[in-house]
Amino acid sequence: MSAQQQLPGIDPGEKRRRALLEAIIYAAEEPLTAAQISKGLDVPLDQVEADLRALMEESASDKRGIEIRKVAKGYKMSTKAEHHDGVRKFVKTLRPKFRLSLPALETLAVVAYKQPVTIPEIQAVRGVNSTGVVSTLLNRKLITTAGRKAVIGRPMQYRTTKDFLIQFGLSDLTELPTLKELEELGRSALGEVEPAGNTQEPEHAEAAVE
Amino acid sequence: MNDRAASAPDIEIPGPETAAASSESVQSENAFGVRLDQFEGPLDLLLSLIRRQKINISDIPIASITEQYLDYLRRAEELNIDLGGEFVFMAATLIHIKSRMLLPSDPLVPEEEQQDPRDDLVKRLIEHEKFVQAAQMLREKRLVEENTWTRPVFEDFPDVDEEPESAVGVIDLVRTFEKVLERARNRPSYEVEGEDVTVASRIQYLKNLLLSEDGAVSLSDVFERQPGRRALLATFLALLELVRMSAVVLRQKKLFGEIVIRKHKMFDTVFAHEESFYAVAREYGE
Repeated sequence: MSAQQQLPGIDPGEKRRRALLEAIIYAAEEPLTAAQISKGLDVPLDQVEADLRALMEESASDKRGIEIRKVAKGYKMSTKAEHHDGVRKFVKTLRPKFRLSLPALETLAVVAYKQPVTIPEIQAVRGVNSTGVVSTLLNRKLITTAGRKAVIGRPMQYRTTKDFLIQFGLSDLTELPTLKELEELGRSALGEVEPAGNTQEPEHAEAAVE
Repeated sequence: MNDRAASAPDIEIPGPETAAASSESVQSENAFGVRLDQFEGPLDLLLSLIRRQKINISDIPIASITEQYLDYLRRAEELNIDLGGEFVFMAATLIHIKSRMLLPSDPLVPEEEQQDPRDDLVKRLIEHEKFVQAAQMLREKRLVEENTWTRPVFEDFPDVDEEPESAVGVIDLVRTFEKVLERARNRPSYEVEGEDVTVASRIQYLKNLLLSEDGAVSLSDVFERQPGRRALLATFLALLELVRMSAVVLRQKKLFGEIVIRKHKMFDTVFAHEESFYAVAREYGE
């Protein structure tokens, strides 16, 4: 192959490596981290990361139906959500639907934002007994125990799991809107036009949620 | 994403059928067809009352809200719905705030330091609403995830995952152990008094078992093979010790699935150092 046929800055070795990365991400069962790939292939980490970024950019194009996304700090390949209607017609084994009730989602949100958090702390926010919902979330492996809190009674603390990030398509917890943004959403949902003592433009909160 | 912020407060269908948009309310119906929205907790109920009337959260008309709140409680009682203590507690809180609002403010406290008796409640409501919003946000994220597909899983792809989270957690372990204990309770025990079961001996036992069975055994199988409760407990403790020393790993193929004990790659190294096992034996006073 002549140099002219290559994209600028991509040598044949690099091209081959990217193709291999794509294949590995396709075959892996769980999102692989750049560190795992780097270790497994014995390729420097920064090179792997650069390749992954390039692959993600490429797959994000409208021309492609499959994309590589960052989920739970690793990389995962999946069909794009916008094609779900068409894809669904051809999927034979539909995954068992796991739908969480709003109380369960709310409890999960409290754990995600306040972790490590105890059941009494969850109940203080929700104003309702939450033991049952917590055990549902534990069973679903969306949350797990995180040691005991050093207060009277030594209550168990809980945190979210890697499964939580995977099931909700999050790269890491920082991808969630901040508590401040949630508060603005909440206040405007409760009909408060001017957030008290808050100079931030409401557009900010919405943009950040997107 | 504008509509997300707006959707919750904008749904207002008048009448008792108003389904609190964000609290996914269920309705109860008695023999006479009287309907009543159900709320998960008092905060959900209050937020629904506030939304319905487009009240500014920082200026709640406490008297009328208390009235409506109590009215809801009365209707629930008529329908024989047990709302639980937290609803009653909130009613008391509302009445308390209402009575404090009636008192003249303390003339000795400067005006800017006067606290609105509603402040604490407003804070709690906003805190709660934050997580109602967060729940909606998570629901949407989950919906997107549900509509993507990854390629079907190959069963025997090498174990790339070394992180503990996809491995078995303490809760799974305890759950399995509880089940085994439950079954053990229901079957005749042939335990011999003074039987010599030590944690150290059970470690040796598990080691030999793993060596003879190709490096992997099912956890419940191992438990089932124990002759009595003492042996069960010692085996359980031995297993925990082996996990701690990184001699074995516990794996679960799928959620609620069978737990398998497997040799860790450190298995041979760990068993090469016998001193650590003497230390274990000493710890258990064996």
